[in-house]
Amino acid sequence: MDLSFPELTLVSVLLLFVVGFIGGLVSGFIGSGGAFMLTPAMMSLDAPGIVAVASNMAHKFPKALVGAVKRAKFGQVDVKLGIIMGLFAEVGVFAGKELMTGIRARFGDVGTDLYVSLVFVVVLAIVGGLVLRDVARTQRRRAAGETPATPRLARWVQSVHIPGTMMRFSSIGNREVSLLFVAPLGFATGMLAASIAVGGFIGVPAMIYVLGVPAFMASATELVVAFVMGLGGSLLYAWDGFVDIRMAMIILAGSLFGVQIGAIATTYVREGTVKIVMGMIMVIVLVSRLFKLPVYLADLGMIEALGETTVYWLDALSFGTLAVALIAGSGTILAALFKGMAEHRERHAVLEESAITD
Amino acid sequence: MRNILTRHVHGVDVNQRPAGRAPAAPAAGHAGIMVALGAASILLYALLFWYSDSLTALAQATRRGEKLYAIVPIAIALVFSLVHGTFTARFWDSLGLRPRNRR
Repeated sequence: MDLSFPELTLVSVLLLFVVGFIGGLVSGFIGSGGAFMLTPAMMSLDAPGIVAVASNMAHKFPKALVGAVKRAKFGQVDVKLGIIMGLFAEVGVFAGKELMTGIRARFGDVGTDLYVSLVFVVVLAIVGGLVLRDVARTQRRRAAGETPATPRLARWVQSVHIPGTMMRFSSIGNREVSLLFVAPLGFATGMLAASIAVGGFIGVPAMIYVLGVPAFMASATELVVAFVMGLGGSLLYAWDGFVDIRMAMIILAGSLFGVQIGAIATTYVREGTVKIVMGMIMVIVLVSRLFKLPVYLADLGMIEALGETTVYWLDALSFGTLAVALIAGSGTILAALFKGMAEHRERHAVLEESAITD
Repeated sequence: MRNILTRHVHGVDVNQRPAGRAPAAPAAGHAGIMVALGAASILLYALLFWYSDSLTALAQATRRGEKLYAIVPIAIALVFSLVHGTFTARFWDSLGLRPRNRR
């Protein structure tokens, strides 16, 4: 296959660095979610689609590794759950790639684009809506003085005992869960990662609501899943020579600065903030894909053809909304971090003042 | 006596010990390590740009069937994550951006 890697200029290097930084910030905080901007950004620099996807993955696994190590120091990572989900996710990635290849062979590029958009819309609408509903419900309970309980579905999953399949996980208070529940969650995470590059949009909520993992630990453990899944995927792409390691490492330069801040921010915020940022990004990304749907439907002849200007503006709106999702997410994280740090400093100042007067 | 009484200043229970470690200035040795890691990181990126064409040629060779070269990008990614990842952690730490240790 004749493929060329894009020419790197100062502008393109700076663009990749900045997008990498913001993506890393979000990933360090919610476990994933920063990658959806990078593939279109690389393609806008004339990288072929497959090279953009491969290079994105090659930056993701080392970033996830650094993020996971950082958050493990805060006691937030369940390595065992991460590795097991990651292995099943790897199988999901293969299946997702096969499905994408099949759709491409049958309907061409526009078919895969439509499939990706539909997966985005359906998954983000359902999961993002559930996450935001849960945030609102938890805040009402907190206001009423109640402590947030383990989700009902997770309580049921933890109560099911299937002999020969049970495995104990530290993130759910050393309780046992059947692998028959963990496997499909990992598989779905991989399928989503292969389709929309953000498996964490399924993986993190699944760990929280199906397995009963606390949000902090779910988002941290997702980094392990992303590492396992990304390492395998990168090897696969590198085997075919699709990885542009120059682009991947430039993105990594920015994202490693970001992932550190995102990870540190988790130590200053409440669990609900992780869910708020995740739900907010999901819903904004959903809007971005809705802008693209008419273009794909017109290309497939399902609706009347759109004018060139309309297509241009729908593309611009979609890309702009993706940028809004990342900027809103990173802005919320930074605001929460600085607020938390200020409160922490104030608390220390008061305690030190009292120690001196004593 | 005052210590065992619960007192509140600005809404904070002053008898309670702070949840996290107090921010402290990094030692000179730590700053030296950070600078060394930063220099190593810059060197790695300089090499990446210097050998840019060779890396592109390597990917093309992999596509032609030299499959052993596939390991090169993976190894590069791991080395960069180790060096640059440790540097970025120390960099933010030196600027006072440290976690609140709650656990």
